Amino acid sequence: MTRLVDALTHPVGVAPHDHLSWGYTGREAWREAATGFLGEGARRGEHLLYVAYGTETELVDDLAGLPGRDDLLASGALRVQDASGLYGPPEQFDGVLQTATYAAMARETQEAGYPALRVAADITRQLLTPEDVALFAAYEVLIDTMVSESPLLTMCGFDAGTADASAALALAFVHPISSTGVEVPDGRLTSGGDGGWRLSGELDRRNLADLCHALDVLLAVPEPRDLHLDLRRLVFADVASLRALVTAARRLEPGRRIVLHSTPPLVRQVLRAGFGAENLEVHA
Amino acid sequence: MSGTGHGQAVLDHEALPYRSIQEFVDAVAPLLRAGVDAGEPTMLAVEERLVRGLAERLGGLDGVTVLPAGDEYASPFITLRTYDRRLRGLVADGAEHIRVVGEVPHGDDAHWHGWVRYEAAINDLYTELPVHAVCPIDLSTATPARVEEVLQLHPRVWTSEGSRPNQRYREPREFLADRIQVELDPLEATPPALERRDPTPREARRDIGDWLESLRLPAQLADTVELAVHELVTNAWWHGRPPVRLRAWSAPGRVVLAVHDTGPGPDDPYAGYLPGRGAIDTAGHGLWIVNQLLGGLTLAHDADGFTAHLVVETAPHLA
Repeated sequence: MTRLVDALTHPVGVAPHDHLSWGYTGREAWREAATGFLGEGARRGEHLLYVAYGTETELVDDLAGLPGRDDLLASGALRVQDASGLYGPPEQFDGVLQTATYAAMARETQEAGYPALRVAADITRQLLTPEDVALFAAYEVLIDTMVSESPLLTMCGFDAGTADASAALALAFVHPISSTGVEVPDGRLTSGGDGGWRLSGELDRRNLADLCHALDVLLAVPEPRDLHLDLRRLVFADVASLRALVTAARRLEPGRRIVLHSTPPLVRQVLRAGFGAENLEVHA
Repeated sequence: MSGTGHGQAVLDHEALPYRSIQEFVDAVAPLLRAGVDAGEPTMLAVEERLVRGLAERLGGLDGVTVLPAGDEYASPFITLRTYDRRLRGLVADGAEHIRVVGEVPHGDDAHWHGWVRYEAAINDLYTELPVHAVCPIDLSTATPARVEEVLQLHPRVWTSEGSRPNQRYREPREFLADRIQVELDPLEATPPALERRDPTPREARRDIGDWLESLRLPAQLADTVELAVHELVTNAWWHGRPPVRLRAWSAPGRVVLAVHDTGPGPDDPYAGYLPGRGAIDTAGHGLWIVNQLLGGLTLAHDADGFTAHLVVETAPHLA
């Protein structure tokens, strides 16, 4: 399965298993993005879920530009839900529970005969402090696997002017797709949909902390034992990023490994020259 | 107790100037024999003709680890790292004294600055290791200037009559600081082919990449140089002070790069020699990898800040 990995100007042309980080500025920009995203799903007969902060009436109003909105609501093909109720206060957010909730929704969607569940969710208020961002980014790492394996596609929107400054980079790093509206480095660590993970784009000081955080999250999970990383779309990795990979591998308990696949020649050269680790396996 | 009998079990770093195989064998054979007899790790990395001479004198080299000199001394900073790991590994495994006789390639023009830095650094980086390191130098082939530099970097001289203090020895940090002007490529006195003020590491990498492509550098070498520039500019931003200036020159057979910032630069004169030297978080690893992959890195403090100078050898027809 090939997942789209890219930065997009508009959140359209996407399909099940896609997972978007959508930084925007101002409520109107969010309404426009959500309407376009959900409109594409409506045309494909997908089940639509709109999650944002506000009353049901306010949320329905957000989608005034969605063709056939009222019919979609009436038929149950479109639902709206208050984000505060769904996610709870940031400090009490439970990523594992939320992942399970979305997985159950995706299953129910399929059982109801829809090809997929398409979720546009505003998560701005979950991202107001660096701590909140770190917590939510960890959840996004976990849910990316689920999205890659389920009949589900989600757009995680946040107002870049309101969310903590770290949000744009942290979220883009763990989403295969991000908005071009907020400029961030294009390095990413995302699920490959095959049990493995992909490191893509450029890794350097700008996203080093996000790489370390994502690796910590992945390796804190006991299964699978080995972390397989596909590097075929890695454009550049600086020394600190490669050292972060090696450091993560060295911290693994015996018997667990980080396995690099499609490793670019220069990465292999640097690892050979400088950073060996028993728990790091490198394949060309 | 060191093998030479003149100090604590710490590094003895000695030069062994010789003019003939016989003179070399006369000086080294007793040292190896004593090492083997004492059951000490005893290593030999010299030219094949010298190995043969020793084997004949000693009736074989049982107990001596003979290392291929060409592999051992292919690149100064790789050699420094290799010996660092090897010697510390032997000590960790219980060795109380180690003997090494190894001859750096005194005719290696491409890496000569690196070999001088290697010889200087040994004095400080291996200080606490119980190693008797003897560095032969063939007076019949090495240039007088190189002989002089080698002699200035060994605190003692080893001969067939034993060890004696070397009056020409200079404190290595001072020696290296004085030598920087010698190491700077004359191209740097000319207008650069490329100059950028305050580039981000990414911009610097891309601009240098485009420039190297115009010079038709092989892609793999160009990628390595781009990584090196990225690391040097990253260091300038993270540990130095703006303005950051990147300059580049080319001439047949080499490209020269300089990254300057107005910060104080690392305190450690051996930053980049071994992993983590001069490290403030991950700094030091970047410099070290540049040295491992390319060598040719000179770090210089100057009147208005700090400059990392990098000379990269290329095929003669390129650049």
